[in-house]
Amino acid sequence: MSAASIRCANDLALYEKLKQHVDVVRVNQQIARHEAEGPSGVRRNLLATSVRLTKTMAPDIAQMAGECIAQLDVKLPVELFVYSSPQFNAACFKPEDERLYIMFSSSLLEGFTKAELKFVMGHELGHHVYDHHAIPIGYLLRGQARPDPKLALELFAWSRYAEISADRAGAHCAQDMDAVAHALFKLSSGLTTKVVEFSLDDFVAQVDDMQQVDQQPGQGAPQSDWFSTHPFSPLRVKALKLFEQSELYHGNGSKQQLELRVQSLLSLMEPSYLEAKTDTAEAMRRLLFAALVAVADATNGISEQ
Amino acid sequence: MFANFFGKYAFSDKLDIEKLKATVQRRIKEVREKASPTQAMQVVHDLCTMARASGHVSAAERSILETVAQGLDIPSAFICQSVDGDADLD
Ligand SMILES: [Zn+2]
Repeated sequence: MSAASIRCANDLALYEKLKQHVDVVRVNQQIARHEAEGPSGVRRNLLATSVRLTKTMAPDIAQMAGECIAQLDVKLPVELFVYSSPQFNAACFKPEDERLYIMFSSSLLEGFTKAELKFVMGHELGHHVYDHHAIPIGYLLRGQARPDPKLALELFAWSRYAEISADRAGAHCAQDMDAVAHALFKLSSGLTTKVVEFSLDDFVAQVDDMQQVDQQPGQGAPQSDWFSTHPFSPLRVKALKLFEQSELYHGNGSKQQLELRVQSLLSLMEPSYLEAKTDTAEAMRRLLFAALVAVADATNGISEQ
Repeated sequence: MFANFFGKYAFSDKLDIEKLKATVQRRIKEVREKASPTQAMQVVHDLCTMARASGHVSAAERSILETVAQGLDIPSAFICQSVDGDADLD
C-alpha cells in the first residue's frame, strides 16, 4: 500500500483547490522570493536550540525513523531533533537545503513506546509526503494581509482532513492500532497510561456520545468528566478505527465508504454554525463575535488598529 | 487578530466595542440555553484557534477565554489544551 493510496480524499480535494486560490498563490510567491534571498535558517535554529539525534546517540530512534522512511518512501534525507519540553509534541518543517527536519519534545521521546513513536514519526513524515507545506496555513492566517473569512474557514477544514491523512500515514508505519490509539490519548490528555487506566472502547464511545448530543441540542447527554476536556482527539481515533476496517488497512470496507464516514464524522468539528440559519447557530455566532471583540480589545484595543 | 478574521465585514460601520463587550454574558446564557455542550465547546475551541492564529495569547486575552469557558461550564483545562495546542500535532 503506497502513501498516496491511503491519503484522505477530502484532504487531496481541498489541497488541490486551495493551492489554486489567489491568496495562497500570492503568499507562496512571497515565501519563494524570501527563500531565494537565502535560507530561513531552520537548521541553524534547530542546531542552536535542540539536540540533533544522531545514529550513534539514539540508535533505536534512528532505526525506527529508517523504517518509517522506507514505508512511506520518503526521498529526502531526514534529520531528527529533540528539544526540552514537558508537553508532548512533534513537528515537521518544510524542507530546506534538500533536507527534511523533524523535531520531538523530550517528554514525548521518553513517554512513548516504540510503536507509539512510529505513529508520531509516520504522522510527521506524512505531512511532508502529502506536500501539506504547500498550503502555508500559518502565514495565511497570521500574515499581515487579512485572510478572507471564507478562506480562513476552508483552511481550517482542510487542516482537519490533512491531519486525518497524516494519522493514516502514521498508522501505516506503526501497524499497531492499539498503540496508535494510546498515542492519541496521550497527546490529547498529556497523561501517560501509567497514570490513567486507558480504555479504547470508552475513548471511542465518547464520539458516539457527541453524535447523540448533537442531534438533541440543548439536552446534554451524560458524559464522563474528561470527555468535556478533550473532545477532539477521540474523533481522530474513531477516524482511524474506520480506516482500520477499510481495504486501505487490513479490513474489507471500500475506500469510498470510508471517506463518506470520515466526512460525516468530521462534520462534527466543522464550524457550520458560521453559516447555518438555525436559532442555535445564530446564538453561537453571536457569542463568538462578541467574545472575539472582547479578546481582541483585551490587549491592544481594536480601535487603534 | 479580530481584524484578521472579520476585518472587512466587521468594520464596515463603527462598532461600539464597549457595548458589544457588555453583551458577552447575555450571549453566553443564550448559548447555554440553545446549544448542546459539544456545540458550546466548538465555539470555545474556535475562539481559542482564532486567538492563537494571531500568535501569542496574552494573559488578558486568556482571561476572557476563561470567562467564556466558565460561563459555559467548560473546564479551563480545555482552554489550555486548545491554546497551548498539543492535541493536534503540527
Ligand atoms: Zn499533524
